[in-house]
Amino acid sequence: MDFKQLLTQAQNDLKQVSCEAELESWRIKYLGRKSGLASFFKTLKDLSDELKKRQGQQANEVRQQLQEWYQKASQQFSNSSTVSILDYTRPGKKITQGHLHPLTLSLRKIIKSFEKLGFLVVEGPEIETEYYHFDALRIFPDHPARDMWNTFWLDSKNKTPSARKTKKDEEKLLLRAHTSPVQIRYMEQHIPPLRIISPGRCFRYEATDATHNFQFYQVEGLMVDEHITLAGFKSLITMALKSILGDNILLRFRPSYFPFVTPGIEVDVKIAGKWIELLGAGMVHPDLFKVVGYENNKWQGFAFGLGVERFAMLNFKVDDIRLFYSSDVRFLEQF
Amino acid sequence: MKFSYQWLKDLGHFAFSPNQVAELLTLHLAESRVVKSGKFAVLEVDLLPNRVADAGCHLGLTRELLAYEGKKFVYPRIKVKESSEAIDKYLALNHQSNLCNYYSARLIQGVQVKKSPSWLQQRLKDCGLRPINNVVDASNYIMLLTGQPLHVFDYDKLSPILSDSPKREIIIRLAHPHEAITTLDGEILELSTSDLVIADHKQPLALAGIKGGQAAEITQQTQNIVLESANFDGVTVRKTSRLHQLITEASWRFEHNLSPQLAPYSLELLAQLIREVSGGEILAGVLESKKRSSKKNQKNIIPISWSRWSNFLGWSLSQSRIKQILTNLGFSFIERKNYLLITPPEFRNDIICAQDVMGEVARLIGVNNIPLNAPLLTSVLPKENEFWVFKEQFKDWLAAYQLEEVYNYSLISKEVVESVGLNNSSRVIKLANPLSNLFYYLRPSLIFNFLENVQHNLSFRNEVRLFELGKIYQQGTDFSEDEVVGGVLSQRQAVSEDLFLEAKGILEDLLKKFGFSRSDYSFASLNDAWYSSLLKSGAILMINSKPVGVVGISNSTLNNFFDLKNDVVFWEIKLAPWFTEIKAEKYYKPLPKYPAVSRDISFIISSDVLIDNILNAMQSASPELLVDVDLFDVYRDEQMGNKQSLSFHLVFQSPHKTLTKSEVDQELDKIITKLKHLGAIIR
Repeated sequence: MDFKQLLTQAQNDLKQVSCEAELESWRIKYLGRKSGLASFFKTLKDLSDELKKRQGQQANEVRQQLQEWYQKASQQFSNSSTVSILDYTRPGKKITQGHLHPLTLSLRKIIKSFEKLGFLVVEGPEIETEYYHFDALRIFPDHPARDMWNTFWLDSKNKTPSARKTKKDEEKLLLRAHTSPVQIRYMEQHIPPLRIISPGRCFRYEATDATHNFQFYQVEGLMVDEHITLAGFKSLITMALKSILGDNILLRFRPSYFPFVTPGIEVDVKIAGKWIELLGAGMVHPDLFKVVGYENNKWQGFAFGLGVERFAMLNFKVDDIRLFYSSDVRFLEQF
Repeated sequence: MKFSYQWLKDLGHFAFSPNQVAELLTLHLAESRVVKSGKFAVLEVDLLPNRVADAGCHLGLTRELLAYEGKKFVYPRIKVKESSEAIDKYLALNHQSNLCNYYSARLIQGVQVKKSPSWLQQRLKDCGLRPINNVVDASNYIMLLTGQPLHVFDYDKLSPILSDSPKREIIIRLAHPHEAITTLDGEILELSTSDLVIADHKQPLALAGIKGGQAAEITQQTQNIVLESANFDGVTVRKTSRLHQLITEASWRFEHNLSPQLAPYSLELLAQLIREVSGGEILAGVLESKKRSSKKNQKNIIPISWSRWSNFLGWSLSQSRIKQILTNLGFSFIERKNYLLITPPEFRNDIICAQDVMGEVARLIGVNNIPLNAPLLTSVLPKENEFWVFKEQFKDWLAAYQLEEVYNYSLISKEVVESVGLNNSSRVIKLANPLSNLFYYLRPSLIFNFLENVQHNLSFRNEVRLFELGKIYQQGTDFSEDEVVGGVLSQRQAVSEDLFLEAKGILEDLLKKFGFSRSDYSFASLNDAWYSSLLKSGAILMINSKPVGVVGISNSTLNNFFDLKNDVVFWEIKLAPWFTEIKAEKYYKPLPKYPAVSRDISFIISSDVLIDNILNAMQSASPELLVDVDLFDVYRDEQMGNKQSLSFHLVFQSPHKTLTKSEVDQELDKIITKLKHLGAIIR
């Protein structure tokens, strides 16, 4: 067998190979089971010992050479093929996480801003007593101010009276319509200075539409210290709201009324040419300090309450409040 | 509340346009807008409860507007032209109840009841009232002007005291037992003995301060009329109005505790106006009576030192400015050396303490105009609410398991609770005043909302994975609310066991993330009667032997209720006990120095033997060197009957040396021996 010629031919053929499939044909032709070289090895046993030794050695060298060429070429192909086949426009593999609810996201934003101002997150119960929810906050029975909080009352007919011990608890129970009872609960346990925010779920006995829901989230804020003033409140709340809604927002402060603050204040923000109510606030009424047993005339403070849905609607341009409670994954996935 | 712009302008002679009035009121009083423009412009003012009594009328609102301009409001003066005949001859007052603070009456003879003049009708319509006849319209008009509700009776329908005398009597008293009244609307009300009525000595003529009765109704034939202007106790009016579900313009106004001063003034205005629009003669004199045990009307005097103003408001105002504003608002004051003794105007029943007074000054300046002065603060490093941080962490991790966060309602339907028979359970809390049957009970578990969520979402997708962090409510010895986190997994054509294992896997990974080790928690069989009514199978999660939650598969009753074809895997964990059990610190374990050796083992064993028991057996057989066990295959088929084939991947490792083959074989033998005790046939 003319090994020299075989190598030359193989080398020339290899030059013509332009893809992996052609290289495979080349391999079959020169290194496959039916190749000339393979047939030669089959006939090797018929040769004389000396020829066997000499030609066998030569054939081995040729085979090694061919294999070397093959490997080199196939490596080239595999290198170049990854480059040419990658289509970076193909969609990435779908890797997903779940999504936090928009109310969670807005609430976090609100809380973060107040935390930077030194406010501590505290929580209060959703099932409240008439005392903490109304009386202690100066929302007296048989007073028209009570109508500002349409309330769900709990059926406590089955209640064993013995379970309730203190006088404050001997009240009718309700689902809280605002987070303000937390003010009383917290002040009863803590001496100022204090700065708290209290997020939580509230309920109002009200018909539902695109901007009202019978269930909603509120964040209560309370700050009590020796030198808290009305101008101080304005400055602090402006900082916080700008940090939540952006530096360029336009705010408006106007009078309002809540029995547990005086004076009462409402804060609006201007969105698309319209003023939108953002939060109710005011200076803590001195009667509340009396109710919780604080030293007379020592403390001043402000309190506020804001609706989380309102912020989320502004944050994400959601136009129907009921979507937040829809559980529709097509909505939830967007956040 | 609606106001006629032109009326306000007629009273105040100001130059503001309707929009300017709305803007001023919004910034200084209450949110206001122009609801009708043009010749008969109408303003809507959302008065808050503290200002209804003084600003809920055209005179009051004009007084407000003039204060913004720095002008003092002067009441229109009134002089009634009386006839020579005295009222006493015809009418007497019998004031029997303390619940009326003041009562006054006048008598007009010879009125002609007809349609009102158009200017009067227009004013009423602008303010949202329907014109009826000149007498009734006049009383409504004066109410809109002064805020004082008024009433007119047909004098001739009152029963005489004696049959031979024309004299009649107005009695102010509580309703008698079993008494009833037919209102002007024709409704018959059974009265309670706490209801205050105006009566003649035969029957009630009106529900005091709320609504008149048919007995003395004004009709076309009416000639002689009694005008009533009174001050009724707000709480009494409110209670009666709520009891009979009868809320009227009058009752709403009285609830806000009107000033008693309004009554005599309004009576004069009304008499004069009726004479003008209906003719007739006003009899001489006013019948008047005051509350019998009326406490001395104590004047509320509020001392405020000069230094207190800036301490409270946060910027400094000159003394002259303060005094000017107080004067504009109708306050009077006496100057002392370092302070003012301030008396609020009589018409402001909402000014009680110093903060109220200082707030009024800020209000007139405009809270919007207050400077932003950063507060002087005590420097404290704020603490962190660790429970809150824990819950937020929980949410982040749950989202990472591809669960979508939902917020559901805390109220669930009557029907769903009844479907699982929990309406008879003393543990479920019911609303006393539900909005509807859809929101009837407080949810005792998250599962009800979740199944509804699954039903909704499966209508447009094949897989639903949700979580919620919220409260559930139950009634034990007390009403309780527990904060829980829960989730659901549901997938069309999924094997529910796979979903169950995924949910359990999520919980196990969470436990690990919060620093719990295998020995801190366990899953126990679901022998809880409560969850058994909701789940067909599942397990209770115990942390340090305390139950904290459940993971299981919803039962067919619930699935049928929500029309669900496939199983839903549900879990619910109480957050407080989980949080309590978290160990404060998490320490690192040194990395292994010597290589691990792994072996696989397969065996057939009865399905009655719990995997937990098998794992415990293996661990106890090789307590030191078996460091990890992984069940990688479970195989069952019909021929195996009650048995299953299990394959485990076992990892052996020593912290002290490289294990030899024979050492590992020895450990494996010990494990096999233990497994054989459990009835395993090694393959």
